[in-house]
Formats: sequence, structure tokens, C-alpha cells
Amino acid sequence: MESRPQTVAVVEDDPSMRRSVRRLLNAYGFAVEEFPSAEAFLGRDPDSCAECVVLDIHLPGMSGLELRSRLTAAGSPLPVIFFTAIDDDAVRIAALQLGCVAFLRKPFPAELLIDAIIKALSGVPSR
Amino acid sequence: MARDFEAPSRRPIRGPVRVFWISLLAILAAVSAGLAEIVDLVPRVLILYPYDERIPATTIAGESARNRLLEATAGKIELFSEFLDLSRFPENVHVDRMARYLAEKYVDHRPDLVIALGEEATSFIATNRKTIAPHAKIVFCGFSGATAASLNLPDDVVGAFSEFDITKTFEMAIRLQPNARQLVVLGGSAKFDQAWIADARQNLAGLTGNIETTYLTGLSIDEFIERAAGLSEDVILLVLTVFVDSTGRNFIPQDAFEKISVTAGAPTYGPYSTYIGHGAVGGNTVTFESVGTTVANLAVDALAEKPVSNVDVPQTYVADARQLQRWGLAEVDLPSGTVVSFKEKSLWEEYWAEITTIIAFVAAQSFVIAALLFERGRRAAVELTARGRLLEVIHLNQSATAGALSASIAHELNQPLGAIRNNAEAAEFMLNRDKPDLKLIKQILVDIRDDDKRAGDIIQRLRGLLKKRSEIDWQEFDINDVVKSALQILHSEAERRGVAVDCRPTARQLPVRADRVHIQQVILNIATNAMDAMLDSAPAQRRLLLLTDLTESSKAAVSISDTGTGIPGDQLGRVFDTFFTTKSNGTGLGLTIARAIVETYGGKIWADNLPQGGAVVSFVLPLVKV
Repeated sequence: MESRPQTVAVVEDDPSMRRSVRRLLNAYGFAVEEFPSAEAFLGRDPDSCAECVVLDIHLPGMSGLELRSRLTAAGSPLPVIFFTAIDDDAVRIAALQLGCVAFLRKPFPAELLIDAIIKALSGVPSR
Repeated sequence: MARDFEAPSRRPIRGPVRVFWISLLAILAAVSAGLAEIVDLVPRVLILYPYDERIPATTIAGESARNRLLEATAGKIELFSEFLDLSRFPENVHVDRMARYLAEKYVDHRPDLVIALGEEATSFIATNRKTIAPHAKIVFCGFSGATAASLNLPDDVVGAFSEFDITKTFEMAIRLQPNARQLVVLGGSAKFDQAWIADARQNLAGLTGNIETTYLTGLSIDEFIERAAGLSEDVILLVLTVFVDSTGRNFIPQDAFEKISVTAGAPTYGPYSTYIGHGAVGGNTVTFESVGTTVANLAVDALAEKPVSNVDVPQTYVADARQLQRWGLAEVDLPSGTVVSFKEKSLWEEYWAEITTIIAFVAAQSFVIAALLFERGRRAAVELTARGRLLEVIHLNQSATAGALSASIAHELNQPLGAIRNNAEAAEFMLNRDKPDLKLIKQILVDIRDDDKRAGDIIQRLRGLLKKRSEIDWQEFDINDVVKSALQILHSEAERRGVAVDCRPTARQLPVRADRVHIQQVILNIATNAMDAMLDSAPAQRRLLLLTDLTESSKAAVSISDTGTGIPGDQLGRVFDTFFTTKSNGTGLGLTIARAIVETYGGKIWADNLPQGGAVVSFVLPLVKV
């Protein structure tokens, strides 16, 4: 029905976790751009067509939260979905305050991620 | 500041509130039997969620409100939930549509009370009450009083406000430290950190009286640690959040808090419950659970026709008994209702008498054993008793190590588990389609297998750590292998603490005869100690070095060195003594047990300072003759 798949950026340092998220998203019909770090995401190809970001919080170098702040500061409209393996109230509250479509704790059911992405993309003007 | 349900973003997550009708029955029945028929009316409560059903903040508060309502009415209540979905459909046309829909849906079931969760649901029902719930009372929650004022709500609409009140944390501190002369407020450089600082400046201004107040911000983590360490005990240190320091380095606030508090010279307080257990004496906080309970209580009162007015969600005072003890602060000075954690004694504290006795006994027995070395007949019996007790102590030590590492182990496990779940769900989805890509599914299965092994290995290591011995399991093994397995257990903890680990085993094997699990525990105890000693070091300089070697006298040697503060010269001889510790959170038993183990296997252990700074602990064990 749609003309081309919508693209999701996945920023995650664990290669196996990143690959699994890519497969999941591919299976549900999304295109995926993968980045092992926040820095790699910031230096992405200007032609990148990612329309939302699935973002790990604990990354080597710049953290996911810091990346979120920078995106906001730069006026980026990209919606963000956070995911993390660490449980910390302050992190959760900060993530919510920085703004995110969802905050997922690993491991999470696929449904939660897919729903969050659909929600994120529904706010984005299509194509 | 940091009010839970208010997210100043374009996709704010606002608080959920559940409405709840209290049953009049019980109350009225108690007052007058003549009103019994009214009692049979079960109140109808509509809970309005602003978004969908999967927003955690609103779900937690909503569940908690619901439970409170069911409890207060003994289940005699009819609860309805509606999800307005206003983040996905913020347009006015949707808002109007929802209003029309609800007006029609509830035409024969008009609610007696509406609980609105969050700002958007509250505005919605305040605007549309005439058509949806014309006779209902309205209560709300999930945002601050300041926000409520900006909404210009009707007078009869009342709510439970969420206010993180830093002055309460300060008040707790001043109760505990009435003679404090200085207040130091510390926060990082992130926007969130700065908002906290601004909030504290504004709200603490009038309260500090004669107490001199200093704001520490715009510093690096090392500077924070250093400044905090330089404070004296009559200072109150209030740490807000450090998400980012002045050098741009990122932190989990809880970790930054711990780094600062562990060597702080002054009692340290903070406004999150997650700081408890990480060096905080205490603080004052708001939980999603109490948001739900509070609005439910408003609802209960409103349904019972009691006068209701705006309330603040009670903040919870939290405190850590161990920190109170560390600073010599009195628990009786805590605000009433403070939730005190770690009150029960730890395993070590609870059994310290037994452990001391056991260790003394072990030492005495060892002496006896030595004396009886040649009396072989008696020796066996004595050694058995001594060993049995030592094994008990070692097992306690193993459990304590596992406990201390549990956070990093959980984090480490969640990665493969998360990947397995994603892969499995992707494969399942693919198999349900017409032409599944079997090649890809095969790859997925390979990854699942690998991640499963990764998780299994982590658990295997943990199991090794917890294995209880009723007798020594003698094995011959290469000590290099045990050094490596200990490092696998420690590596994620080292990573979490920013410690670089360098392991240099000998190329040749160093076979020894002992219980592998025990030797591993020796290495874990020494290495954990070494990492603790580096808490104050600059992150770039935290290095843990593990060496193995063959000594001239043909023994297997392991030495573990750190780049920490070293051991004060006069204490070098005491570090293996029972309960000797230089750390606030140390049990003082790790090295004692290490020595007991090493000596059991005929080895020796000693400590030294390094010329370039830092300390080294080494032990040797007899080599098995090949």
C-alpha cells in the first residue's frame, strides 16, 4: 500500500542486540540504518532518511541521553525511542523529560517496540 | 523541578489518574441503618488516561489508584477507563470527536466521579464535563500546582499535585545535622542538571538562615569528587543530578552520586530513592505509586461527600541506616514516616560475632595443626573441623561478592536475553508469512544459539561464584585459567566503574592443587579491593593489572596491582587483619579470608605499595610437580 518502507535508525553498541533489532524491524517492513555509537549517528550520511531513532542509553562515548539533548538543541524533529538494560529512576525520568515516544527496558516484547515506532512515525509527515 | 508527569517535550508523558468511587454503603451503614438502600448504589468512576494504555508513568499511577479504590470500597465500585490517545491524535477534531463519543457512550451510565490523569486529560474533562459527566466530581493528578494554576480550572475541580520539593530534603538534612554551618549544593552541566540547580537556588534561598550556601556546578567529575572529599562533617552536601560534567562526560546520576558520596567528607543527600544504597544518607522524593494512591484518596473522600481540596502528593522521606551510622547521625532525628532501608543487619553484621569466632578459631586451629604436624593420627580430625568452618566463611564471602556484582551481572545478562527475544520474535513473524526467508531464519537461529551460550556462560560463572562446598574439591588446574575466569566475572563491573583491566599471564602453565572456586574467590577479593581503592583516581588512570609468574623457588605467583591511593605505610602489616578496613563500605573481611584460603593451600600472601603509586597484593601457591 505504501510506496517505500519508512526508515528507522538504531543506535546500539552491542552488535548482536543491534542485529536482532534490525531483523525485527525488517520483518515488520521497516528499513534500518545501524550505528554503533552516538558519534557515528551524528556523523551519518546527509542522505540518511531515518524518520525515528531507536536509541540505547548506555553507549561508549556520548550517551543516548546526551545525543537526545543535542538533537533537540539542533532543532531535529526526529522522534526517539529509548531502550536500556539498566534500571535507574533518574535515568528514566530524565529520558521522559528529554522527550521520547517510549522507554523500553531490555529485554522487551517486540510488540512494544513496533507500537512505539508506529506511534513515532505517525507523527512524522509521511515521505 | 523534575515533576514526574510533566515532560516539557513535544511528546510529554503525563500522569495517569484513576478515578474511583467509594462505596457509601459501609460508611452510611455504620451511621444509620435507615439509609441502607443508598448503600446499594455502587459508585461509578471513570478514569481518564491522556494517552494510550502503554505509558509506564500513567500505568503505574493508575494501577496504584485502582488498587487503592478497590481496597477502600471493598470492591464495591464500578471502574471505567478511557484512553484519550492525545499524543497520537492531538488535533482539535479528535478532541471533539472523543468528547461526543464519551457523551454518547455514558448516556445511561453517567459517572459519579472522574479521575483525570495528567494535564491534558484534566483540561479535556474540565471543558467537556457538561456533556460527558454532568453531575460528576472531578479530581486530577500528575502535575504541579503551578501548572494547575495556568489551566484556570473551575473551583470544584481539585487535584493531587506532584512537587519534587528540594526544601524537604534540606529539612531532613538539617534535622540530622542541626549544627551544620554550610550547605553545598552540587549539580552537573546538563540542561536537566541545571534546571535542578535553578530550582534549588530559588527554593532554598529563604530557608538556609545562617548557613552559608555554596553551589558547586560547572566542574568535572574529578573536581566534584575532590571538592566533596575536602568538606568537613559539619557540612550538608546535597547532590541533585550529574548527567554530564563540565568535560562533557556522561553519567548515570546514581553512579555519579556514588562516586562523589563514597569519599565525601560530609554527609550526602539527594532527591531520588535510587540514590539510597549508593551513599545517600537520605532525601525526599515523589513516586508514581504515591501519585495514584493520593488521587484515589481524594476520590474516596469526594465520593463520601466530604469536602475535598487540592493536596500535594506526599513526598516520601527515604534514608539509609548504614549511612546514618557512618556519619554518627541519629535515626530518631529523621522526619517521622521516613522509610529507612538497610536497617536489617547485613549478613556480615548479623554474624560478625560468629565469623570472628570462626576466624579466630580457624587461626587457632591452624596453629594447632602446625603443632601437630607430625602427629598424623590426630591431625586429620583437627584439620577437618577447621576446614568445615573455613568453608562456611568462604561461602558467606562468595555470596557477598555475588550480591555486590548483581547489578552489573543483570545488565550483562539483559543484552543476550534481549537479543534472543528480538530474534525469536522476528523469526516467528517471518514464519507466519507466505515465503519465509529460510536462509535468514537459519542465521537468526545461529545468533540465538550464540547469545544463549553467552547468557549461559554468565550464569555458569555466577553459579561457580555461589557454589557451596561441604568439603574441599581438590583439583589440579592452571592458575592462569582461574585468573581469566575471575576476570570474566569482574569485567562488566570494571567497565561500569571505568577501570581498565590488563591481564598478563605467563605463557607456560602454572599447575597448582587446590579448590578452584576458593582460589577464584581470593582473586576476586583482592581485585575488588583494588577497584575500590581506585574510586578517587581520575578515570583515565584507573588500571587494574593482573600478573602471574613462576618464582625462583618454583611457586606459582599471582600479583594484582592498582593505581589507587596505596596503603598508608603504617597499615601495611594490618591489611589482612580481621575487620581492618579503610573503606566506608568495606566489611574488612575480604583480605582476611583471602589469607585464610591461601594458607590453607600452603601458600603465602602479602601486600606492598608501588613506587609509582597504588598498591599490589601478591600470593604464591606451591606448584604441582609434573
